[in-house]
Amino acid sequence: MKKAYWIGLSLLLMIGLVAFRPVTKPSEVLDNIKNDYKVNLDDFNNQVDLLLQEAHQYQEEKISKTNLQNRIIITREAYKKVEPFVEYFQIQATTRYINGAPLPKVDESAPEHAVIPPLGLQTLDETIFSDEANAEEIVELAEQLKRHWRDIYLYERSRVLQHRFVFEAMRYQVIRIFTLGLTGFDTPGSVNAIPEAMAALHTMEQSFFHYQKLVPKETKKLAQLISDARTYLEDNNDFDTFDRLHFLRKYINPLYSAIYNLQRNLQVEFVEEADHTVKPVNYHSEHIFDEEFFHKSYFAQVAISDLDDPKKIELGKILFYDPALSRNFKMSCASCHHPDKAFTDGLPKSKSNKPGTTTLRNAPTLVNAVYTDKYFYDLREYDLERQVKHVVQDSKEFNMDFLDLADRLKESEEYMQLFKEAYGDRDKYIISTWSISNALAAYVASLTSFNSPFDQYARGETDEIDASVKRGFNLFMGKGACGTCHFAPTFNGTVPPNYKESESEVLGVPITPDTVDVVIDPDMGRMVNGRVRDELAHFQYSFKTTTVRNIALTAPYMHNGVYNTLEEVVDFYNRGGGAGMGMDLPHQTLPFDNLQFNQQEMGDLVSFMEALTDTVGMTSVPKILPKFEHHPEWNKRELGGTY
Amino acid sequence: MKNFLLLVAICFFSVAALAQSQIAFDEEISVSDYTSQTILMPPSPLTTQVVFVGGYDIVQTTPTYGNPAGRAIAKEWHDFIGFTPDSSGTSLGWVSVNHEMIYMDDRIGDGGGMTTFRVEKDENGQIVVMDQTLEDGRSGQFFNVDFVNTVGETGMNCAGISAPNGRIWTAEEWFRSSTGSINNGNFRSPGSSWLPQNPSPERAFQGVRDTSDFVINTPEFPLIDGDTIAKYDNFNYMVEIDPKQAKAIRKQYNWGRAGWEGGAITEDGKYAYLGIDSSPGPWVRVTAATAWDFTDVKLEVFKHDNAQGERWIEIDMTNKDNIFGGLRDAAWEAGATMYIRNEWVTIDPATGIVYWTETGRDSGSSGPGILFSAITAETNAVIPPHHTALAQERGFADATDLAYQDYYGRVLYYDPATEEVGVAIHGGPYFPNGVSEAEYPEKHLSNPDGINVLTVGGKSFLMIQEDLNGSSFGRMPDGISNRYCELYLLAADAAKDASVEDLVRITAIPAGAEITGAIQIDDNTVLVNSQHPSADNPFPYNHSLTFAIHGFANSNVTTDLIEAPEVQKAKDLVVYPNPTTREVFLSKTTDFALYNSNGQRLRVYRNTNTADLGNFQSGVYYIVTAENVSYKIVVQ
Repeated sequence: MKKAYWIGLSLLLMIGLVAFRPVTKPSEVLDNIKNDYKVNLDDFNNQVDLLLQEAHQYQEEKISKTNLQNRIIITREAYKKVEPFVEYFQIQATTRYINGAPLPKVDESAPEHAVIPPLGLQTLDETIFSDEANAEEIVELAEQLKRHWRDIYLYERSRVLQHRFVFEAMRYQVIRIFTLGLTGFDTPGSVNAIPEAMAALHTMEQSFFHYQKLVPKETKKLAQLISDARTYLEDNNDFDTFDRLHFLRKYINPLYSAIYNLQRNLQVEFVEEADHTVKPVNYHSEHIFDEEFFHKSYFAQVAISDLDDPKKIELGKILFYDPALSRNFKMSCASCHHPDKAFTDGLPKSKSNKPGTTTLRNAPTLVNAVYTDKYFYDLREYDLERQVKHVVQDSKEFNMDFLDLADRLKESEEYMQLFKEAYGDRDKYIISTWSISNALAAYVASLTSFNSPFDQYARGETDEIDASVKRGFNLFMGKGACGTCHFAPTFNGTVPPNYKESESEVLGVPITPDTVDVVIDPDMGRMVNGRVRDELAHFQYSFKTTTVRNIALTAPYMHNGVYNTLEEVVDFYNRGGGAGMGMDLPHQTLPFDNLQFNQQEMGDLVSFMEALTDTVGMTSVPKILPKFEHHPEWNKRELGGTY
Repeated sequence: MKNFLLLVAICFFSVAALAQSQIAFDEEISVSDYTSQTILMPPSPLTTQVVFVGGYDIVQTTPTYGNPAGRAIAKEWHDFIGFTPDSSGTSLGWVSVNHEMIYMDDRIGDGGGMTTFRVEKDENGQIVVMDQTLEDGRSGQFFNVDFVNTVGETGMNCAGISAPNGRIWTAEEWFRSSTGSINNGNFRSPGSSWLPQNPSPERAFQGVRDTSDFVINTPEFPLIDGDTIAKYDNFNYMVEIDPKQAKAIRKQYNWGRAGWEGGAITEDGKYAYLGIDSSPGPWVRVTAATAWDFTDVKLEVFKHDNAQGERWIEIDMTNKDNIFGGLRDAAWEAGATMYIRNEWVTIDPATGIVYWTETGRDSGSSGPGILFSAITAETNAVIPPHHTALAQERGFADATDLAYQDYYGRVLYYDPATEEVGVAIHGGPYFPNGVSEAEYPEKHLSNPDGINVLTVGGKSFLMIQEDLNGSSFGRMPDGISNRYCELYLLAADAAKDASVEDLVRITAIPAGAEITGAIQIDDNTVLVNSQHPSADNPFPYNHSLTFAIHGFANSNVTTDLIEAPEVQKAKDLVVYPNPTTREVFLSKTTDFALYNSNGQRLRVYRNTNTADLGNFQSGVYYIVTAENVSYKIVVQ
């Protein structure tokens, strides 16, 4: 508090000074930021030592649990001051060992199953604040933290900074504060989210303070914004009642833009001028809820030239509605993905190609489905192009040999023509398993939308929105902790701020909606998805975190379609999922405790989710299907299939 | 806004001052102001050609699991490439490609797999995949190697051996420890708690469905011939295949079960040097009693601290325990030297020196320090001196400190003449104690994995391919967030305690492609695999594929690879283009920006003396340095 006041005062003083002449050189800006970084690194390093000391003292019963709780709070706040840079430079090590979610992780590069147990500050926060805080476990966690922090600390102390790094680190920090910090993702035990956000903004303020000495006019607005945001947090520090939507519109959006604008003003190069590979986040987006916030090419793993080609998208759309893709000419993609239901089918589980039977799971929406690193409820496919193959070959779905399918389409001159127009330059792959997959992937990737009533409000394009939607959003991103798994802005499991990995969760979804006699659905999900790396106990009953967008159109819900209404879904979470209802489910990732929503709050959550509907421009259907000139009987097939 | 900025700039400091202090380069320049020195970048002598696309190209299959012979889509995740020269001279030879992905497939067979094909060159020097009819009647271009009907299924086919006489072995790497662990759905995985039965086994896309006991049928190994073993005990061998007939020949039971990765066989057919990808793993040699007959061998592990002549210790492979998985423990009992994940092995034909990659490991629960400490406490195994030195450099007493990690790995050499093992080049560098910006390295070597020898102009180079274990600690360039694995060349005569400055980056590969398997097939052509998808390239470069890099016989390549690196180190040269590596070198490390012919800024390079123009189209570009010196670059 005192410190903030002093900084604010000296900031004003400096603005006064530099109005006349610059007091610093550009290189000194980096030197000063680097020095601050070192000081913050040293400070956190000391905290890591103190935490370990006090963990031992707690184990020896020399200090109280409250003392230890205070220590973890201070340690975490110290971390927040190095977080923008440490996580920008060392995201993998920090996610695994320093401040990742308190869940087991998998070392994908090891030639065996290597599970990294929950470690780091979030796990410590959760453990130290839990009722049964086990001293031995805390000491072990604190020791591990010290062990893993050591190398990061040494490495980062010798970090060479560039201006681009500072701007990018701070911009990602804005996303992080909003999506992970303020939602409580970071602080599962202490819920000290708001003071931590202030600590995070402190480093931002510190850094831009040095730019302000160089270019006072350009930096003025940004510096003011950061300071105002900190003040707002200070004045509104109750986690449950904090107005995240207001904070988004008033501070987060402007900060996200202002940092970019300053970078542009200073002509500091952008990321693509140093690293031309495609990134998940479009750095030139204006807001987190910008329609162009993501590069879909990154997620689809398909070249931009293919995703942007209207001929390929149009061909993909025809294929999507053509039952000639299935062995019996009766099933198309649209059989289970109806455009009027945001590309779901309204059934608990989709109809299979054998009457009276269903596919294994509920049909997920395809709108914004591209924004993930793995596809299907069980996350079995990493590549959008290869996703198609599963449907083609599945005996319950198209039940078709993919090579035979390519041969079948070659029998249509009309198809030949369409493929030539889209893939004429691809030699032997013009009609091939690849071009079919690519066209369908291009179509599915075209089904994106960030223009729901809520998005328009979030961006500040309108000031009209129902009060219950506002309340619902704040519950979703705060007290309800929904936003700690359904991350903004996709509200799916793709983890901010880098959006490179998609999570699955163990919720304990029951086989029936019964809340008394609760039996888990036997589908084992991710653990049996066929990927060796996923054959792990903590992936048993684990399913992809699907998007909440367009959820008003996608009933019934969950991978088995057990719930018909959103109210039932909210009730399920309110009860703490399967384990909360009494299931023996040690790996459940959803907190077991009751969320204690009242009726109005549950209604507000539903209102918010219903305000996420937008399928504009996605529902048109091709008029006719290409003809098979030599197979008149095939031409009797129905557009979209007979199911 | 621009005018306003200009005003700001004029008021407060000159543009030159801005540049020198590195904050920014103008987003646009007027190119007419720059009548600068012109540098010509001739067309690259290296060109690429797609040869085989996994997941999309069609392979011919044998009758498998009751299905007739037919066709199937090739498996994916290309890793190792073997090459078998055609001694008859009617073609170039046969290519064998490993598929590391494992899943069940009714026609190819469950588990992993391999594809072989025969190649020749047309009059333009392009590779042509030939039509073939094999002895078993299969006709086509690409052939699935039949493991199912010959030696039982295979799996996790990562690297292998491409012997000087063209014999090919594939390595079954990922170590399986129970029958459950080869069958998705009924498994018990190492390190995980008990896992139940899969209720919907029809959904298991991979794994080996036939888990019944396996009867060994190998008269050449009388010790175990006719033995009935658990199915998983039939995995994790080096497996010899016949690339011409696309079928497996034998699992090399006599070398034992281990997490085999790579290997190399000496010119005389007497020794095979083998890498085991485990942390830690021993360095292994098998000696054939008769040259080229590897069914009767002596198997030894290396112990660096024994006297010269006594560094190879024999492991008793008449002990069935050592065959069926006990090799590593036997090595530690014998006091062998521990390495952190040995990967590929190669031999320089010019010197006979053996090179292999030790890729390194960093891990919370099974980091090198933790493992070294546990194993040295219980066995006679020893820690190689380079790990002790590295640990001490990082402030630990030795490599048994629990916090000791091996982030970058290295390339090691073994000289058969002296039995000496040393570091060819360390991965890294790692900077624990501060480094000035000027000293910051341009190149960084991390987790070397694939390695092979390339001969250009009579000179041997190691082709080193990275497979990053992670992104932290500088394994990706600062401020670059995507996974990026490089292909480097290192002159073999410099491969002794070399520094990263000695590496030459090969950029004639598509952006973002991850390269593995590089192997030279004639004086002009190297075949490489690209694995892991990337959105940065159009099909097929966003999938697993095998492609050729042609042009190594071009005399310019010889100049660029052999002479240019020396010239670039000279201080007196201002700018030097290297058409082969597609790089422009400046005489000193600085900041500079690259502009297109319209004066629009395309790239900014910080603290470097190299600009990689590998993915730039031909045309005119400008480079403006922080000192406001400009060059016109004409890319042809």
